[in-house]
Amino acid sequence: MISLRNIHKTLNGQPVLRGIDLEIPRGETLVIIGRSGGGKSVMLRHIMGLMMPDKGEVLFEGQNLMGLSELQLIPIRHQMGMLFQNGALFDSMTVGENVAFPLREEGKKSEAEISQIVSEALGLVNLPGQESKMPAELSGGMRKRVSLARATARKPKLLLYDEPTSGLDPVVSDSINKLILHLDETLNMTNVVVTHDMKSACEIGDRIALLHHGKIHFLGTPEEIKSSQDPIVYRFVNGISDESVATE
Amino acid sequence: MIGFLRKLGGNFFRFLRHCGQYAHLLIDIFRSLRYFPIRWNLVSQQIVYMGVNSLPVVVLTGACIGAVFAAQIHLKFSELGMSSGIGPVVAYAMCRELGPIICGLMIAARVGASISTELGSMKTSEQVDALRSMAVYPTDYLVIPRLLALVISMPLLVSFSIFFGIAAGYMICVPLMGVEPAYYIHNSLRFTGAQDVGVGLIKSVIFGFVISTICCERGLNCGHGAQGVGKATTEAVVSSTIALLVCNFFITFLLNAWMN
Repeated sequence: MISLRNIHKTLNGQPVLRGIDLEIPRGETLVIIGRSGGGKSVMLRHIMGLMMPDKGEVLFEGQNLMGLSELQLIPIRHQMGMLFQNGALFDSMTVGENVAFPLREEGKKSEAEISQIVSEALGLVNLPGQESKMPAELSGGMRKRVSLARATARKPKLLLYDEPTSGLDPVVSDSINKLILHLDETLNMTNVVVTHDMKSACEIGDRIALLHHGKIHFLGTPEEIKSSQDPIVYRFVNGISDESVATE
Repeated sequence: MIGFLRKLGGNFFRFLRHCGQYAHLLIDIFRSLRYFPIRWNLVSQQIVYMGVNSLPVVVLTGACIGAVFAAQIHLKFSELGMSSGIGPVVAYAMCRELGPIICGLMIAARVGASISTELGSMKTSEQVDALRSMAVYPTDYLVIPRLLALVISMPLLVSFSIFFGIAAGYMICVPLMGVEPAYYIHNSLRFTGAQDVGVGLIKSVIFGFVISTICCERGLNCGHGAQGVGKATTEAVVSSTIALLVCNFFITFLLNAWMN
């Protein structure tokens, strides 16, 4: 469904991606892990076409996104959804209006149908009846749930998650993981999840890719990554720093 | 010396980058107008926010400028025995220059700052990217409604500014300074015509376009975080104010040449 071929990206003179090659088949949940600032979100943005690579190709269902204009990307983006790190909810709109937004923009459904879908989408993320609340009134976990409801309202083929559990307590993180699994079962989408939460990665991922120094250092199932003896993988999985703290 | 040259060069390249980004936005605006229907519901919301809500400040500044200008003109014209010329001078200046430029400056400060802050905050909180991810063209959704709202609102606001400026001038000169009302009104109507009001309205449309596009461009291209938004807002207000004054200079000469 998605192919990343030899993707290179430099931001502010700093190489972030140095030749990413990755194939993501339809229906798979791929988790991308790696250290903070390692280029995981940048990679996700390339898949959505929010960023264009300096070199390489991004193919979505065989179509190369490289060089397409914003206008040409519109029909492709209709098939995708994205959960942003901080929710990116429109703060001038209510929760209901936020979830209804992509449906209204699509212009294919009546207001009654949209209202029905919004209720269902909020029910699916365990926030029934919260349509009239403003984003400012919600907690971090609730904002992510609303953002998830908005991203899935149009039932996209591909859903991209940027740090879905970051900044949340372990209980809320677990509920988000369960929600992702539930949505995966219910809507049967292809998912790409960026996280540095190993517990999350192992729970929701069919495969896990470790991004290290701008390249895919490891790609395998959760069992394979857990049993890997590669020092970089081992240190990341077990949360061991290779830096020493200077002491007097 | 090297430090000075480096700073000068840096500012020059930053100016060029802004010009490039502005040109890119203008192309995007025309592309968006060509491919997407206008969102009149958003335009009307923005007209209320930018136009209707700006009315008190525009009326107040227009009236103040008209009153002060009339008082100053009266001081010199009465010395020369030309009190009957005060009315037309105030009306002419309010229609052609003071009304449009004072209104433009107030709108650049009030609305321009608001546009760049709002769009800048949306950009830094990933709301602009969220729009793009939902297959919405940001220029179509964010820029066009603000642009049209300001281009529609500005002539109305300038009309109010001109009217209240002239009215305030009358109130200063006639009841307070004792100028003969018949001369004041007669000469004002004799020497100020629809052409002068037209000049003010043409300027107002151009000012609306300049303010909205510059402030949208700064907001959408702002830097990271609160500092980036603050800087973009300052740049938006300063750039649109300077652009307004420079545009006013050229429009005045062009319109005068065209009308003569």
